[in-house]
Formats: sequence, C-alpha cells, structure tokens
Amino acid sequence: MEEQLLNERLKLNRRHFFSKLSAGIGTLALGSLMIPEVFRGSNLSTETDQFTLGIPHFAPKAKRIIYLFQAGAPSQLESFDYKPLLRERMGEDLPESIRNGQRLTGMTANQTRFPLVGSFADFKQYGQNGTWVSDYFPHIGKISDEICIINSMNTDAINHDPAITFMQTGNQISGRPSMGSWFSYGLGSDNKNLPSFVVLTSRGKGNSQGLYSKLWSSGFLDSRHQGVLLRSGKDPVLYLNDPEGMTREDKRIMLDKVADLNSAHYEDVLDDEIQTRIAQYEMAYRMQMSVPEVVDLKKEPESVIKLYGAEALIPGTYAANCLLARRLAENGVRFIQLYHQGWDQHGNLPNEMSQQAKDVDQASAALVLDLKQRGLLEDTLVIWGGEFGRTNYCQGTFRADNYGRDHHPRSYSIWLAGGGVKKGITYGQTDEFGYNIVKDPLHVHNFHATLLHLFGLDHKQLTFKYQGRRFRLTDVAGNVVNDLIA
Amino acid sequence: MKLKFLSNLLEYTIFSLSILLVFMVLFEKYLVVPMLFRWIGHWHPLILHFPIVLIFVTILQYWRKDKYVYWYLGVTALFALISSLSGFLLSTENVIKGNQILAHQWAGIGVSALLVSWWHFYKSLDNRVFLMRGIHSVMIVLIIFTGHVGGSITHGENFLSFQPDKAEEPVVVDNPNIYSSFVQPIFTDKCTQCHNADKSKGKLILSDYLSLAAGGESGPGLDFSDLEKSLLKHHLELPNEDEDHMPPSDEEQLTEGELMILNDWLSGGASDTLTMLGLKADSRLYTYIQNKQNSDDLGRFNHLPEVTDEKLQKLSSNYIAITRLHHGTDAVSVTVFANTTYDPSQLKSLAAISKNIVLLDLSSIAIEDQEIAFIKSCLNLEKLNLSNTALEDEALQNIGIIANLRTLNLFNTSITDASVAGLTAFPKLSELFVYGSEITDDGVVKLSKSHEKLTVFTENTQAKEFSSVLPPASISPLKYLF
Repeated sequence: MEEQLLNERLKLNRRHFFSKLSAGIGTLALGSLMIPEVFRGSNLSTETDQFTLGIPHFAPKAKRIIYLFQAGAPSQLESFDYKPLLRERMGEDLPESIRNGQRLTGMTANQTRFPLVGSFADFKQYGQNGTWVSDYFPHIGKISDEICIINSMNTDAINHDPAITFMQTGNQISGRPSMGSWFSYGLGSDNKNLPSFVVLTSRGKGNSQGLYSKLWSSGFLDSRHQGVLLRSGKDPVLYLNDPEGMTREDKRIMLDKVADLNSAHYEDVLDDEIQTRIAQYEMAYRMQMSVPEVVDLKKEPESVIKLYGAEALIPGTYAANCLLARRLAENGVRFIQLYHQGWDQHGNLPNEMSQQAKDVDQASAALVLDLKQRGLLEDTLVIWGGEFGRTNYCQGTFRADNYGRDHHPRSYSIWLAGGGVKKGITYGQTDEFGYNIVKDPLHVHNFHATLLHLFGLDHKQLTFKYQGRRFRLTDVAGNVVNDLIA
Repeated sequence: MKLKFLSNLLEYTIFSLSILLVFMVLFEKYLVVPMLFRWIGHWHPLILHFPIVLIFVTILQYWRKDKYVYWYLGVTALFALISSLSGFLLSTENVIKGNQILAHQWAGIGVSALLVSWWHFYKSLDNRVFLMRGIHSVMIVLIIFTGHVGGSITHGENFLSFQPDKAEEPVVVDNPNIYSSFVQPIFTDKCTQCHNADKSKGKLILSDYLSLAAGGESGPGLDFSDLEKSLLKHHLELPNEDEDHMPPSDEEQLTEGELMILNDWLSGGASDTLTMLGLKADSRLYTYIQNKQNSDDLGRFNHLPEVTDEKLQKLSSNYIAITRLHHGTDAVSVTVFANTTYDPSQLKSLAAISKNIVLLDLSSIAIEDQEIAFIKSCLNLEKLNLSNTALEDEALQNIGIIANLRTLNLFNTSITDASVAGLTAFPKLSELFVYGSEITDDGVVKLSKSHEKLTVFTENTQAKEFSSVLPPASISPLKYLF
C-alpha cells in the first residue's frame, strides 16, 4: 500500500515536472515575444489567476440577484409581447414563410393545422413609454417604468429540462455549476451566517414540470457554492432548534470534536471537500441563530403584507417567497433563486394562465417596489422569466376561449429590474406573428455575460479549471449587451 | 574593351542622374511631374533596399581590400541615385511636405551625394585612411537615419516603440466637446498613420477638423447637405472586402463603439463645437459619455491609502463583511450584520481602514456614541445605510456633515423634519431614502428643492395603490368570433 502511494507520488511528480518544464520553456519564449509586459513586471495579464476570487474584476453595479424563475415557460404572447395581428388572423394557418421549416416539438409536429391564436387577455399601455402589458399582469404593468422588458430572449433548447438547465447553467446537459454557484464563486458571500445562494420554490395550480436539485448544484465548483433549498412549508429549515437536553455549548463541543476528526481525515487524503464540510457545519451552527430571525415574516408590518398581497402570510406561496427573498437580500444573501412551477400551458391556457398570473403578479411587482423604497433596488437585480416561450399557434383542439400553446425557443419575454439595468424600456422585437426575432436578439449566453458584467465580473475571466479545461458560465460564447446597462 | 565600355556607361549614367537630381531639387517649384514618372516614384519603397545593403557591402569590402570595390561603389552610387530620384518623385505627390519627409529627402540626397563624390574621387582618396573612416561613419549614420525616418513615414511614428504608450485618457469633463474629446482621438489612433501632413494618402488629412471637412481626392469628408452621405461614413461602412473600405482590411479596424461615436456625432450635426448637451439624451453616445463620466469618477479613489487583502481578511468576522469594491482599488465596503454578539467596540478595530471605507452599512444596528464616532472617522464615505435603526434627529446631527456622501438611507428610522435643514447641507448628496421615517411630505418637498441633483425616495405611489388593493384582474371574454 505504502509503496503504491510512493509510486503514485513519483508518477505525479514526473508528469508534473515534464508538463511544467515543456510548457514553461515554451511559454517563456512565446511570452517574451507576444506580451512584453512579462518582462516589465506589469500586473496586466490575461490570466484569470491574477484576480482574487471574491472581488469583482471592475466596478460593479449590482450586488445581489433575486431571480423569479417562472418554471414551465409562461406564454410571452399573453404577457409582454403584444401581437394584435394574431387576434386579427385568429384561426388562420401559420404562414410557412414565417415558420420556414424550423423545428417543432414532437407534441405538435404531427398536427395537420397550425391555427394562429391571439391572446385571450387584452393588452394595455402603461407608464411613460406606453409599455404594452396584458391584463393578466396589471400590477407588473403599473411598475413598467421601473423594469426593462426583453421580448427577444432566445434559447437553443426546445424541451423543459434542457432549456431550464441551459438557462441556469449555460449548458443543456446537466453537470455544470448553476448561475448562483458561479456568482457565489466569483463574488463570495457577504453574510457568513447565511448561505450565499438560497433557493425557494413554490407551485401554482397550472400544469407543472419537475424541478431538480441539479439546477442549483455547484457542479465541479466547491460545494460551498451549492444552492441551499429552504423548504416551502412552515419550517424553511428543519431541526433548527437543538434537541431537548442539548445546550448550545454542548453543540459547540460536539462540533469542535467532529472538526478535529475531519481535519485529521483531511491530513490523510487532502480532499478539499472535507474542509468545505467543516465550514458548512459551522455555518449550520450559526444558521441556527440567523435563520429564525430572517425567515420570521410575522415581523413584517401590515403595510408590507398588503403590498405583497394577503398570500404573503401563507408559507410556501410565491408571495411569501418574494417577501422572504427580500429579507434574505437585506441580510446579505448574494443569489436568491425562486422557482414558481405551473406555467406549462399546452392546453387550457386562458384559465391556467389567469391562475398562475394571479399567483405572481402582485408579489413580483411588490418586490420591486419594496426594494426601491428601501434603497435596495439600485444594487439588487430582479429577474422575472421562464426557460423559453410558447408558440403563436394553437396546440390541440382549437377554441377561441380555450386553447393551448406549445414550446417556442425562438423568442420569449423576460423582464429585469434594478441592479444597474436601464429602466422603462422594452428591448428587442419579434415579427408581427410573434414567431421570429427581428431586432436585437438576446441569446442566453449573452444574457449570462451581461449579468456577470453587472456584477463587475468579466465572463471570460471567471473560470474554473476542471478536467484539463477552463470552464465558464458562458462556455465559449457570450457578449455583453451594453444597451441594457444604465 | 568590354570592361571599358561598361565603365564609361556607368560613369555617364551616374553623371546624368546626378545632374537630373540636382536640377529637380533646385527647380522643384516649377516641376510638373508626368504620370509615367509618378509611377516610377511608386517603386521607391522597393528600390531603396538595394543601396542600403550595397553601402554596407561596399564599405566592408573596401576595408578588406577587395579589388572590385570600385565596381561595387559604382553600382551602389547608381542605385542610391535611382532611389533618391524615385523618392523625390514620390514625395511630389504631397501637396505640402511634412518635416519628416523633408528630413528623409535631404538625408537621402546626402547619402547619394557622398557616394557619388567618393566614386568620383576614388583614386585620389585611396590610402587616406582617416578621411575614409570619417566619410564611412557619416554615411552609415546617414543611411540609418534615412531608413528610420522613411520607416516612420510609412508605418507611423510609434511603429517601433516597444509598447506604444497610449496617451492617458483625459478625464471627461461635465460637458465635453464631442469632436476634440471623442472624434479626433479615434482618427489619431486609427487613421492619421496614413492620413497626416507627411503621408496624406488619397490627399486626405485627418489630423484636424478643417482638413477632415475639406477631404481628399474623392471629395470633401463631410457633406453638410446630407451628413449621412458623407464620404467619411461611406468609407467606414463599406464592406470589409471592398478595396475602398477604411481602415484597410489589414489594419486595425474601428470598434463598434468608435463607429457609434462617429455616427452619433454625424447625426448630431458633425460640428467641431458640438458638446454633450447638444446630443439627444437618448442617443447611445450620450449614455456612453455619461457612463464614462461615472467611471472616470472612480479616479477619486486613487488617493485612498493602500490596504492589503490580508488586512481586510483579518478585520472581517462572521458578522462584519469587509470587501474591496473591485480588483485594483483600495476602496472598501463594510457591512455590519445585526446579531446578539454585536459589540460596538468591534468597530474600533476598523479604525485602521476607516479612510478606505466608502460604503458603510449599519442597518439594524443600534446607533449610539461609538457608532457615530466611527462614522465620523470615515472621511471618504459615499454611501451610508442607517435603515431600520432607531436613529433620531440628535444622533444624525452629531454625525455632522459628510463631505462626500452621495447616498444616505434613513428608511424606517425616527428622523423627523427637524433634520431637514441639516440634510440639505450635505454638498454631494444625490440619493436620500426617507420612507418609513417621520419626515413629512413638506419635508420631502423642502429636501427635493434644496439640491438640484438630489432625489428623495419615499413611498412609491404605485405601492400605495397596491396596499389599497387593486381591483381584481378583469379578463374580458372574447368579443369576437370568426
């Protein structure tokens, strides 16, 4: 056993030696030719190692995110992308010149007809710029001067799982770190007594798709960057209270002993995850104190409850989660990820959409206003949106008062508020049929790059080397969209 | 016999070319160069390499006592003359010769003259070692100088600098002149290497506004009857493959941002007196300058004392988060989180970095004497969050005026209208959050009026409407059937 270990070490050393030697000489020669700074002792360098983790690369506009993820993909045509033409040509087939042979899902690919269907809800203009918002979202309409609506989001994936994975990790196949983990990795945590990445879930009555913990996994990053899911019931974190007969001092002693054992184990195997585990036990110990304080919504005055709506008092609802999100943001949590399920309206859209919208409309808008009057909105970025859009034609049986819409990755709507994003604007535009983007497309990679930029991170510099390759949230793509930045 | 013929030919050629060169230089003013000769001028960059090499070979062979040196010298002198002549022809294409061209011209002619003289007096100069050494040294210095200046003319003056140090970007002033602050720097960076007084390709000079407007061979650079059709824009926007696209496809191209600046300048009237405030407030250039002003503003942190990561790390605790604002700055943000173990003496340890603190968040902390003393010691403070505290007017008064404070959060405090007068005295205050405090609407009005740039955030009007419960969303049934 010992001999084997020794051999392994020798191998490692030899390999290490050769790879470093050849690379070293090569880079020295090349470096002196290409980057004169090498010999100038300048601190300019393209190497990511030059940046200390936890510090933004340049002056940030935003400090924290609240991502109101609408899981299941809400229809952009019944929310923010106003297409009167679809009502005018209700029931007519989608012209082939518009679809142009682009792919459909297996669910509607076999339909003989693709009847266009207009929004069941009317649209109204709100705010100084006359932003169109549907009647499903009157509260969000009211805050249209505070938000930036993007009607030209587009993604590569056409089904829920790859699409939501893409949106959250920058890759359709699971395994990469979640956005929240990247932010935690790049910026560190503010409040050491709470996780830097917290996940809250809620579920509407509409048709839902699954949510999996892989969406908030830290992938190959240190697991301290993993999202911590707070339960959506009465007790967001279980076992916060010490069991009867155990004092806080007892717990301290126990943790110290466990940490000693873990440290000894770490000396043996040098696995960094053991250090993480020690740190997380310590945080859990402190969370016993901090969490009850933070999650206690009863401390909120009545005016705030009224703002978010009465549902804010029912634990596990979207409204309660929004309020909780604000409390977490106030307490220095970097990335607060909400998921609201139930937006997958393949059928019965008018009814389900109305239900879903009622769940989220007031609370989402209230969150923005609440942050604003507390002076938090300028450095808190709020994002509202799903993983893709929905088709402009009807799926299944077509009735004017009841219809469904299939998945549509080529365009969808999201909105942003605060965090250094321009407000009161609508960015991007789709054609009259709401099928293809005609102006300023915003791809998921560019979206990610822009978000990182708002936080003072260069998406090309924030990398993690794993399996011989440097990975980024934006992989090998992504451009910062300066037009969105105030 | 044959050798004699060649020798004569060489002699006559050199003689006639010398006369031609002298004649041309003397009567430059009256010279009208025919097209064919101009074409010869274009060969200058090729021919000039021969004499440079030959001079060195000749000098070397002379000291090695090569018996054919006389021949080498003849050929060298011939090529030197041809280069000088072609160079002179090339230079006549410039309307006005710049200093560099003149220096290059005279140095080149000097080299030729030295060579011709040496060749002419070859026999009588032989064995006069010191004189020959002198002539050779002068020749070598001259040829290097000529070559260097010539190179600068074609490639731009900074071509050989080890790392072209870009001039430090000037701090953007309040209302900058668009042309001098943004447009001309682009030309200087990307265009004037070829379009300057020395080397005005296409007869276009881009080193000043009048020359740009006057334009070059193909017409004026700016067309004031329709700026969108200006040649400037035209050449920049041609597809990269097009021969007339500028800058040439093998040169550094204009960035998207630079094109944006030029476009917005054109649509703003393309005047050299246009300033930022003359632009449309929603134009991209306006936003760009605004952002730049903000980021230039970051320079204000340059004077902060240096602070190491280790020190920040050491001062941080589970309840006090200390973070550097961003990479490469000494500005620091400090957040103190409320907790049961909080003790105001913890702030004392932060005194070492108090001048670095520009953001301070003491929300939910009891603000008493020690806290106030600490806030006062943070001389560079720009953003202060005292929300959710029981802060009263007296305490706020005790803090005094914070000279650089831009943002003050008094949300949910016990501040009343008694503080309004004190708050108006903060010179740089631009954001003030008073919702949840006891400041009345009158107080808010007074505050808003006190500073032009101050925004006072109180309860949102929309939020009021929310609390009074909006009518339930009314979704009208479909009014139309098909």
